[in-house]
Amino acid sequence: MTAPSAQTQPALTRPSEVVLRTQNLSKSYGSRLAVDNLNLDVRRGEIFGFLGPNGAGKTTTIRMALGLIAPTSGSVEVLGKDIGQHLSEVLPRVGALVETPALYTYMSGRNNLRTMASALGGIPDSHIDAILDVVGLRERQKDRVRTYSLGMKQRLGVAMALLHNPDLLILDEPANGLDPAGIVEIRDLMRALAAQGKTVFISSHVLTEVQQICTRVAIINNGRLVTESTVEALTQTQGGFAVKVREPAEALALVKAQPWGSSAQIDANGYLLTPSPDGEGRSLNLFLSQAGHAPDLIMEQSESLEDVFLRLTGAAPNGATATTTTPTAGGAQ
Amino acid sequence: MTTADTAQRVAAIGAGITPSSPSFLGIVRAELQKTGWRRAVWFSLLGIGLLMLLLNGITYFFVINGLTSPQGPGGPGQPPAPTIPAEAIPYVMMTLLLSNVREYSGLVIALLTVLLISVEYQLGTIRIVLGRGVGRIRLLAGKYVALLIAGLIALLVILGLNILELIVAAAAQGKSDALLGHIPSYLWSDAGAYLLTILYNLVVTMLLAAFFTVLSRSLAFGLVAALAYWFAEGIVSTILQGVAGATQNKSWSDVTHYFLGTNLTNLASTVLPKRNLPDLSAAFGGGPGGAPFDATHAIVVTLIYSAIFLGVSLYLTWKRDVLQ
Repeated sequence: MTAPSAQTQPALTRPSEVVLRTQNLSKSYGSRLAVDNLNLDVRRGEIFGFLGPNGAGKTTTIRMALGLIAPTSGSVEVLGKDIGQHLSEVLPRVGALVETPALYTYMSGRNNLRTMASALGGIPDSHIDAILDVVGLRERQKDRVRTYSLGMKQRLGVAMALLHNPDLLILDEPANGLDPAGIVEIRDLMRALAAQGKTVFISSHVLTEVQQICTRVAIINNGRLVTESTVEALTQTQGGFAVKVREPAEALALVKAQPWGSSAQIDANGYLLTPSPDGEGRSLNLFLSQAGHAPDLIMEQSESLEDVFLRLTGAAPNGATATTTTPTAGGAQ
Repeated sequence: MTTADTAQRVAAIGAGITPSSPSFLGIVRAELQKTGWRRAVWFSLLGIGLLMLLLNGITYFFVINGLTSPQGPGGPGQPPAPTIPAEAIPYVMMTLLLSNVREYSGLVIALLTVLLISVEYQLGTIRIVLGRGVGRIRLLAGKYVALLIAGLIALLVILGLNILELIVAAAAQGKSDALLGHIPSYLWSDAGAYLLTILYNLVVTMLLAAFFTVLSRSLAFGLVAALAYWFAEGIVSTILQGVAGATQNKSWSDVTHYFLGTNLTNLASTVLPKRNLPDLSAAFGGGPGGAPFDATHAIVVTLIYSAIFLGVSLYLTWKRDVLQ
């Protein structure tokens, strides 16, 4: 196996390079603050999820990153340069899909790409063919966009974003309107792009998708950054395990008697939810086995990204607990 | 498609394409494609073309008939025609034809301008184009250049169609000789000068239509405003002429000398040299003579309007947030 070249694998050579940075970024419309002092760092090769409820300021942030609207204060750096000062240098290296795909609906899908290719220059027809292949629109390339379904428009929007081989892709709701197979294709596409050292910045409401593909996420609410972290760190609960035992009530009594087990409980499915003596699954396994309650199954507890999102944005539906403890990931057994 | 397939294809599309700043010529080309690949543009042009052929065909037919008829241009029962020298007929027809060409080419450039600028806002594609680093001012400049190219082509087509129609109208009445048999030598230079004023008119009309469209970012408003502007000026002119007549105060009507439409309409009259021909402009439209100001006045006034339209359009394009 040959070592990947620096050109095709920049992620391996400069993994910590920041390609998108907002510094104290704010935007107000009259008295309404749409984005409030936002600080973000997105690194090369990441698939970065940008989450927030409707009206949280996601699209406004993206528009500022693309120079479409001017910040009220603060700055945006893209690929190391201030967007306000170096718009024409930086944006040719960025591909974007903002909100619904904006397309020339009176043209065919192919002509949409040809028009954009004319403006950008240096893009041969064979490249357009390749892009159409990647997004799965080769068959319908000659049909007018007006006749496309939302999912097909979305694919064409992604194709437009990819057309000039950008280093940074900014995709606002890329899975919008796609069927399950399409969602999987887009997910694979993003992973492949990230593997090539490209950075993918996704704003999405499909949190299960974000959880599957993003390396890091930022959650904003009311224009403010609530958290920025890896998906793993956000969804992992501290030292909690779900244990399947034959006599959960007795096991619970035993655990609660321990200094580390006072918070233990049994959930609706009959699982014993408990911390571990030292935070490790194997010591919990050992403790229970020695006490005569050998576990059938031990799972590390984690929250889904959706749970985390709802908890952090305060959008959990009435009656729902903010700290859901559904076991989802395998642990020591 | 499998994950491995996707990875392979993504690797393939990345090869050989280097992101670069969009070139101005590329932007102009893209703008021409946006215009040329739009059926609505061709249907609109077809409609305008058919209307033009119908109305101008009738006009040319009756004007040639009037000019060559012993009853004169006013028709039966009207005062007799002045003595019309043979060389006046092609000259009057030339000015009438170019006056029509000016009006229809103005209509076409206004329509194309509104369609090409508003489409980006109507469809939201402005965010895609600007998001690729096509600068705002460069984009607007690219649209201006593309529109000038399209406008020039439209002008040539309109001119050709009108010449053909005029020749057919004369031939249909057996009066080709009256139209083509006594062409004065100065007709060609005067026609050339008239054509230059039409080109100037084209640019000013484009700037006006662009101004309203940039201001509103709307197809409907831009189209209505770009066309209604001339009607509004005409109505205000008529009112001011009426007030001037009623009050015996000429300064009321003098205000119209600073209207854009008044200056553009009379520009050809101010530019063309006075020929020793009977003034038939009142009967047939167009023709030299009759302008209440000189060419310098007309050019300065229209340049001021153009500078305002251009300046405001550039400023708004540069500074306004793109929320579409």
